[in-house]
Amino acid sequence: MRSDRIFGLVMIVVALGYILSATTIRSSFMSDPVGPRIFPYIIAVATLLCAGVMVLRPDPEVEWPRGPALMNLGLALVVLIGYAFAIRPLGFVIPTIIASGIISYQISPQIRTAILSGLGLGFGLQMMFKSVLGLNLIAIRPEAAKFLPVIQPVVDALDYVIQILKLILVSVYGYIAHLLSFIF
Amino acid sequence: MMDLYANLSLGFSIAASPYTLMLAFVGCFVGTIIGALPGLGPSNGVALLIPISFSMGFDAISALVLLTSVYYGAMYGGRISSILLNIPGDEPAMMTTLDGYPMAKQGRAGEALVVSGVASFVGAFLATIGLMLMAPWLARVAFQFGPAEYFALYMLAFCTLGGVGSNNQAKSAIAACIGLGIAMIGLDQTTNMQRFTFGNIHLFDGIDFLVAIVGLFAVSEVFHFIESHGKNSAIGVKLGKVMIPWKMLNDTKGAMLRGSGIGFIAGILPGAGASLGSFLAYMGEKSIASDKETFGKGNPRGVAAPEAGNNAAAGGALIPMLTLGVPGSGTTAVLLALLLTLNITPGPLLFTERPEVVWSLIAALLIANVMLLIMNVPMVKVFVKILSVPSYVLLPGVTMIAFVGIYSLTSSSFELKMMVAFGVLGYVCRKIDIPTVPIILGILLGNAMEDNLRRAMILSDGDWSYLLSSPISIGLWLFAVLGFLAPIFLRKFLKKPPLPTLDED
Repeated sequence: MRSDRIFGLVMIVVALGYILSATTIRSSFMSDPVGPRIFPYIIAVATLLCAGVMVLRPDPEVEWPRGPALMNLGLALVVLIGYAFAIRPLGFVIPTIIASGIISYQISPQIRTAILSGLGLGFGLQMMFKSVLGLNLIAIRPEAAKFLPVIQPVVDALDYVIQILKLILVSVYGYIAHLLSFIF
Repeated sequence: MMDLYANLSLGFSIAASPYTLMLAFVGCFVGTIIGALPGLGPSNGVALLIPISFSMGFDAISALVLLTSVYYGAMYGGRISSILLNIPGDEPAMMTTLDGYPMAKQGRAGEALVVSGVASFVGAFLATIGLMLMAPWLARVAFQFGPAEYFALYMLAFCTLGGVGSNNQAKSAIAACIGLGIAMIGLDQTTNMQRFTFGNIHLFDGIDFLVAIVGLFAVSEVFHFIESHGKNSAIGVKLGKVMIPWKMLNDTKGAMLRGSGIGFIAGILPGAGASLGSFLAYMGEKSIASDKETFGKGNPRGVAAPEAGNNAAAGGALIPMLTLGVPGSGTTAVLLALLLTLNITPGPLLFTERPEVVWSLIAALLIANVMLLIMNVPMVKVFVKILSVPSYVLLPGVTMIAFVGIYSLTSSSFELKMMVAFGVLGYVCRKIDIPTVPIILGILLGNAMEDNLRRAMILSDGDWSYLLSSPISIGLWLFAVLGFLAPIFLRKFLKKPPLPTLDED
């Protein structure tokens, strides 16, 4: 009941704001019969209607998380937002270790497994994306590497291993193709 | 008929190269895993992979082959966790739990997996053939569509999606409005004027639909999982030796064929998609069965029909998406996003101007199907092993993949924050039962919809009755209204049966 009403009211406010904002869209000399404002108006009016229905005829109330569960969700949100801020200045590995460690701990509260899965995902995903799939991903920024000098050597070593594996695979593939070319 | 043959051989000549075959294989494998893992389904799986494959710099056909293989693979894989864990790997696989899990509890897990695997193959294969026959025909019809008809078609998609796909019309309509409203952000295409950008330079190009899709589908899953973990912790069923039960396959072939037919039709209808396909296939099979009371207690036909249905619907759903550019379900909406990312505009012109894209896609689907049959029947144990990845590794992994995908595509932390915001929106929507698929559809189609409306008005010089001036558009509007309103009255008859309960034995 209540959450539908609140959502409906929020949407009514948003839709009114949308209309207000749409009135400030400027027309240009290239005019067409509809113009850039009409379609947003239509959407906003439809939103108002639906939101009105939600306020007047709400569905039964759903159960929202409370107390510790809500704290948990809030923490997850903070971690994700923090991750979004951190990935650019710090590079990929450190934020990933921390963020996935925390999320892992939230799902299964054991310190050891959380640290292990954080480390595993941090380095493992870096390998997968950078060395195997070839995405342009910076493992760690030089500025950040000053404080944690261990990361870069580990990443380099792992990358080295992957490159060797790749070489072996490519040569095996080449050899098989070579053999096949004799048969056909 | 000669046309068809020539087109198919064109398709196979592109798709049967070793490189493309390898991509299809990788796609099928990854897709089956994605489908099997609870919480990851075809839509969020493909959504996660689009940005990554795009940053890897694949050309259009390779990316298309890879990701449609993932799509088909995920449709196959969804059944594995339905049967073994009683948790649908994705939404369309929900109906498979009804008889699949009871079968597994009776020690017939292997048989259930084989029957559902073969049923998936039958459904998907027949639907791909149907796609091959029907799509070019529909593309020719679509040539007669003008802007007014397209506008009506978009209305039809939103209305049927809202009517059939949700429990509350107002909620799905408001979801569509949210999506359309978001699509308006950015520079107006016709006049180049800013709309709703509030001077923020990041918003000039509008909100990237990939950011919205990954946020709504994948990031919201993280919140949902953290909230609900523990509540449905599954009791796994042991899988013994997998044998091929020929007799059971023979007994269920009728169910597979009927399920495929129903699913295919449900897939073509805009707004319906695979979930409805499997639901109708199951209900249809149950209603004609002489042994109704064994359904829900481990009847193999109750496994075969919905699996054939959901895979056939997955194929059928590609028809309106490719020929008209109007996706019918969440997953095809994601595939539309893929095509738009690759700069391929689906529609009738696609069939005449870029036949190589269409036909190599179809050839790839046929190849992928055979690969998936091989992977999913003899090799099913491999995937069962992968299912035992603990969620405390899986979930953070999925989250990080979502971030990396969007980050490597946009390299901006603004988009990442936007993605988290969409994740929160997705969580709230899911909580209060607002469907998220219309939001995606609105973001994807919003600009095209407005564009068609404005072009129609230019043609008619501002006369709004032009929207209802042709028989095709009147028909589409009628179906739209009907599709939106009819489910209110039909809802009583189409109650979904509850999932089998997990009793601790």
